[in-house]
Amino acid sequence: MKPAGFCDDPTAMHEEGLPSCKLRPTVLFAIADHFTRRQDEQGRVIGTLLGSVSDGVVDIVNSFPVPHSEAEQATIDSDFNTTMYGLHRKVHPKQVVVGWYSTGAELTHNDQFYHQFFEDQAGEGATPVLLLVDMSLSGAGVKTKAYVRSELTLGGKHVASAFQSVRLCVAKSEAERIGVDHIVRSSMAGGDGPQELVPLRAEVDTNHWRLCKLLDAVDKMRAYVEQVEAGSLKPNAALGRSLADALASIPKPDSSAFTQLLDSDTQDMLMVGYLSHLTRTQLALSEKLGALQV
Amino acid sequence: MSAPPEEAAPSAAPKEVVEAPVGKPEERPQVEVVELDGLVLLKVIRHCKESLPSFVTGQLLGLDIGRVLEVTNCFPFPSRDDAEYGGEDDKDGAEYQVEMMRCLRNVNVDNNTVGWYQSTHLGSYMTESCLEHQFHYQENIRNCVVLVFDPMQTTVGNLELKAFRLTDEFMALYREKQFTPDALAAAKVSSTNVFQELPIKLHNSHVVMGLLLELEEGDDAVVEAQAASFEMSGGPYIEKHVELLIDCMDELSNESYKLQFYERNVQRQKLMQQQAVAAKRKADGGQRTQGEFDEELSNNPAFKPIQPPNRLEALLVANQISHHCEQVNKLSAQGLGKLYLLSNHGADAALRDAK
Repeated sequence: MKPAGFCDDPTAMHEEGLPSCKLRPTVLFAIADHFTRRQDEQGRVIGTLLGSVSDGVVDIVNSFPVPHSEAEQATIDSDFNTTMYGLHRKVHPKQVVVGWYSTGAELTHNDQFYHQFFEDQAGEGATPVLLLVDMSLSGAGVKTKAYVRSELTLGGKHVASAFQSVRLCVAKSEAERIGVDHIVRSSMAGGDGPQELVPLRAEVDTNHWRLCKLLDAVDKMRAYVEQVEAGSLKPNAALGRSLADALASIPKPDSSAFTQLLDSDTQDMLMVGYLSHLTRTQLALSEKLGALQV
Repeated sequence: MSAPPEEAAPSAAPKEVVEAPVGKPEERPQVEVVELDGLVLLKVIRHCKESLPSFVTGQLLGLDIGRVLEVTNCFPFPSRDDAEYGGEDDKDGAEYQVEMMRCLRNVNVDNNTVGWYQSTHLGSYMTESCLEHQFHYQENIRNCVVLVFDPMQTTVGNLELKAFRLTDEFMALYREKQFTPDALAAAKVSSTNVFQELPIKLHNSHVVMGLLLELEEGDDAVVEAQAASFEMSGGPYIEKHVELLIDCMDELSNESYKLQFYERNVQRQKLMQQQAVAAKRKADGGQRTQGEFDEELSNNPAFKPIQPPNRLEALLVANQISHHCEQVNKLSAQGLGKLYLLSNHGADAALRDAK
């Protein structure tokens, strides 16, 4: 079984009849938050996953925690789940229950019970997903896995059910990516203290950081090309074509026209900046005069 | 003998300052920094972005510790776009809020309200409704902020998120509901100290840090996004800002016309008053005192004090203008930076051509 990586393409390859999952980073953050806020004696936390299903791709966009207890018998706060779901429906009427999440390294015997509960919640015909997030940090990092339950039947009779692993990938929209980038950058810059706090970066730094990233990418590309040329890597036609496309997309401007364009743009920018400074000065002046008027 | 009291006076003053928070426990120190959880940032971004083009609001939850306001969670408010702003709806909203807070408390989420967030377009958030909202929040909870997020800006690769609170001066002024020019001058409120911007910091738990490493690892698409943010797409934004700026200017000049009109009327009235008094005094032959004249005049409807214009709008517009100016400055600075980068690229190209 192939372990579910973080960025498999969900549409690339369907295992037969099984759905694949797209997970939003917000959900992971929410689960992490829920996990850190659990009760002392609580081993793991579980909650409901909301989102949509289309073409066998489960898009998990939202989640909320649900209290449960496994002390003697596995129980779950059904009322809480209903209320919370109702509240979420008010804001996002299109999101439905697509599954549930649990923290931990592997499946436990109570999972069957909980899965049945969420299967009932999701309604007739739906195949809820179990998202298993290992927050214990015992291995290398945080591992996530997604499962669906499949029934084993023998001669038309239900014999047992098994959890089957499905593809999972973290999908970020542009806005989320920017958000995550900011968080990553702040935490990287914060050093090794327990409370990394870095203000959102200034524009110049951002540009610098982006240029570095771009350079990294170019370096990576060059390394790849060199390896191919040296014959140590098998050439990939598709990759080569996209590389050629990327190179072709670099504009080769006529230098005098380019300089002219650049100059006029610079002048525009400077003028706009000048005007806005002027406006502010005027505003400050008029306010001072207003204050004097008493 | 007079020396000891003089010496005691300066030492007493700082002592008072130290004791003030102890003496009044309800007076919590004012927060100076907003500490955002990564979760909140992502949740706000998601909610604001996916509800475009309508604008949305939500509640911030957390705790104020000393001078730091920790925002650890948030939840969205149902959109009220299609519903009327009726009493029924408000009640619904309040119920939703109470219920949500109760549920979140059950799962150990901080359930203190520390403010609210709203999405905006090009920073046009300085409206009266926003002001009123924030006033009510701040009136009930001393330390609370409004987070303003511009989801449009993310399309050019910027994260435009700001935290504001109303200044104490303005709070006092708003409580009185007096926005005459004199009252503004007396309260020392100008357009620069209506809102106070607070610096935002990010905070993440250890588990989240582990998660981040993982998220970053397999991210090949990130470069693409980085390259996109180099686009010279600041132009339309600057244009839009300048357009809005011009609109604001019109509004401001309207407001100042109103003020001028008022001043002129007051002047005219004063003049008429003086003339009337002088005429009466002449006819009377100096038998009555000044006070009697004044009393008579105040009964005359023609000399009723003129209603001074409301300066709140002007204040907000001025504030808005300075915001737009700031944005234009920022964008043009960004643009210049990119142009500079490009010019180097151009020089390289020229060099290549020469060769």
